[in-house]
Amino acid sequence: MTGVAAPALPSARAQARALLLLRWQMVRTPGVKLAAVVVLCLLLLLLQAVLSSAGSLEQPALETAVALAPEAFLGFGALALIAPLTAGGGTQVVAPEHLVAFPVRASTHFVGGLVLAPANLVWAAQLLVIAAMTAYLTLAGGTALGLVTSAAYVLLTTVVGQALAWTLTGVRATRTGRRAVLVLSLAAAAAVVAVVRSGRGGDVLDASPTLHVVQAVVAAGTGDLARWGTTTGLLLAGSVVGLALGARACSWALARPGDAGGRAESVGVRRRAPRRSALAELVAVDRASVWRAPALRRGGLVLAVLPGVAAAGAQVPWESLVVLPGLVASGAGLLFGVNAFSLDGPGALWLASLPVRPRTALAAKVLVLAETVLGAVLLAVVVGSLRSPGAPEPAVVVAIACGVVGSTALVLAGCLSLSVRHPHRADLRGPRDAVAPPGALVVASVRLALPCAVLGIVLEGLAATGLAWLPLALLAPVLAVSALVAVRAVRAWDAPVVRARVVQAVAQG
Amino acid sequence: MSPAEPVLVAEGLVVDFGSVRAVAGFDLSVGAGSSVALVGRNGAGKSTTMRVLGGVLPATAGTVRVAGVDAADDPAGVRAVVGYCPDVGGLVPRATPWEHLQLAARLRGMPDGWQDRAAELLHRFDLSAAADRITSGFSHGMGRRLSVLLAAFHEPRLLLLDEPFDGVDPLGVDVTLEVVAEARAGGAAVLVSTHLLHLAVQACDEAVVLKGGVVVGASPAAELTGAQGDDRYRALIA
Repeated sequence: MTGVAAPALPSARAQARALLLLRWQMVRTPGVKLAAVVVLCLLLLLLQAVLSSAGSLEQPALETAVALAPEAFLGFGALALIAPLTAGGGTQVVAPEHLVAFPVRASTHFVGGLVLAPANLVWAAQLLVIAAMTAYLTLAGGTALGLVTSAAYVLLTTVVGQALAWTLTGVRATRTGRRAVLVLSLAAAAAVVAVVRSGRGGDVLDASPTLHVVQAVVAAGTGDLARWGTTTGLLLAGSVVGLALGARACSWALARPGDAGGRAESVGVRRRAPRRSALAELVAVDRASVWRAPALRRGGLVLAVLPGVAAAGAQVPWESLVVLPGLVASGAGLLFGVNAFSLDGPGALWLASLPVRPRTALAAKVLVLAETVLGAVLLAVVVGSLRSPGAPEPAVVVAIACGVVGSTALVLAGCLSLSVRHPHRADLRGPRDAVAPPGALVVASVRLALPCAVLGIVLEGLAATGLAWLPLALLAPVLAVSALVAVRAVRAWDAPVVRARVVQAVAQG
Repeated sequence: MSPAEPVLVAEGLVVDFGSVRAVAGFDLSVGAGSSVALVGRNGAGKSTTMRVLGGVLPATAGTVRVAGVDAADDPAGVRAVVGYCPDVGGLVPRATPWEHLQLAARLRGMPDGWQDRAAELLHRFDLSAAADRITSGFSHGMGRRLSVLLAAFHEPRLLLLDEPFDGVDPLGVDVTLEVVAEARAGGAAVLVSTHLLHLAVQACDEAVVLKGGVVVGASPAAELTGAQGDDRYRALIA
């Protein structure tokens, strides 16, 4: 048989560009497009602001900042490694179910994930820290060269993080692989605990490879171009190698069986007893929908454990713990709360035909979200405080408690509003499935993180006064505003037209 | 509801999606023990009409009464007597069939003993072995069978089946036809939306042809079969 040669596929970069354009065109709400552009402009403005702020820093503060530079670079590296691990490889530009009819290269997913890595508020915040550190380290001059080194470091860690995540995703496709990854993870955690408990954490941090990166940035300022060039060149060369290996790892992982979460779908689950009320039955179904989604389960566990462990490892003082609840609560809201009705999927149509009060269905979602957010926040605070030095002042304890309650209320209200007003269809079947499209997630993360961060910072300041009633006085208006936002969302939900729009969106897209 | 009143009465139904009119004045009544096929081309407004009758979508205008209950006055009351099988999926992806049945039984206030009927239906639809597996792993046909099962589970007064035969194997089709026949025998009204005319004829007495959101023809279902019936149907939907 004489076959016709198949046409050559476009490169991964070209395909990724086409998918990103499609993603952008799929944003039908002009407000969301505008918000995404505003967020990007805001980030660029902040970058400019932190770069120009170095000169205004006083000498003691500057010295402290410079001393912390290796740890700051290390923090970015850790985030760049952990974020794609929790996402099961990388962020998807377009859900795979929409691409089954198209010959998309596996490596296109790798490139797409890399491009979307900055669509993460924590990543962006850490980038600002790196930029600020670079400016501090090159105060005498050579900031541009220093920024090249920092950018090369950001590129390397992001590429390596994604490559490693795809590799582990591939390894975890088999039972042996999953066990191996679990053993390795436990061993790594045990090693960290052992180092921290031995009191040699500082020594280990001092020996961090990021010290060489920081020295290269400093060299850019002192005119030591040989040192600067060598390190920067190595970082860029490592990035190129990482790109090649990461694309291969991605192709390999996607070709492995069981990547789409099929294992859990083929085995039975234990039958539970019926619940006593309609609300309890709905809560049980929603709770199962959260914990049976691989992406939500993994994200939830990481969110509940990692910030607390990091805070404990760093022996964060009690005063600084005040900001922790806001960080964790906003992250927990992003797991599924910003699009809570997507848990129902196509079943939303059937659920809407059942004789239950609409507010009961809404209450079930809120309760499951509340227990997820509150659980993650409490765990993070308890674990994070385990190694905090000394005993906390009463005002600090009150501020932390107000942070827990206030952040949870702000996140619940924000999630309720977003879920009712901006529903999306989300498959949540595989490890990389997200609860909303990337752009919508960025907007939602700003919507949740900003008020929580402001609350944390203000509470920290109030705790410093030593007056325990001051955080409580702030909590009252925070709860009132949250209640107002929530009530408006509930009233919107009461309208049959709004409910029908939500149901149609989550069931069919 | 008076004894003579049909189980389903829809009058002047209109559904608008922004500037698009999906249903443009739909009238239908279906009596107890009767079954009607809703047929027409893609986009004719069949599924939208079914969603309104199922209480999922509010009508822009018009009235719906099921078993004497007005959908606008008492939507939950209507949903209590309706069993609806949606055209797409209709299943909560990470819940099992048994959990769907458990939820339906609780929300519908079914008395203890529903477990026996649930088990019997699962057996008849050949889903017993999959009763505790999450539905996102189901084949399309399995999902359709479970959707029909859930619609019929509480023995509703009005059974709405939107594309119940789509992708279903012959044995599954047989059980679905049995369920329709049992519902009719029990005094329920049945409305079946489908593109499969030969199955519509087996399931229903009457057929209503929808085009552009309005009823353009109605006849005994059997008259839409054979070469003559096929020509007539094509002429109606063209």
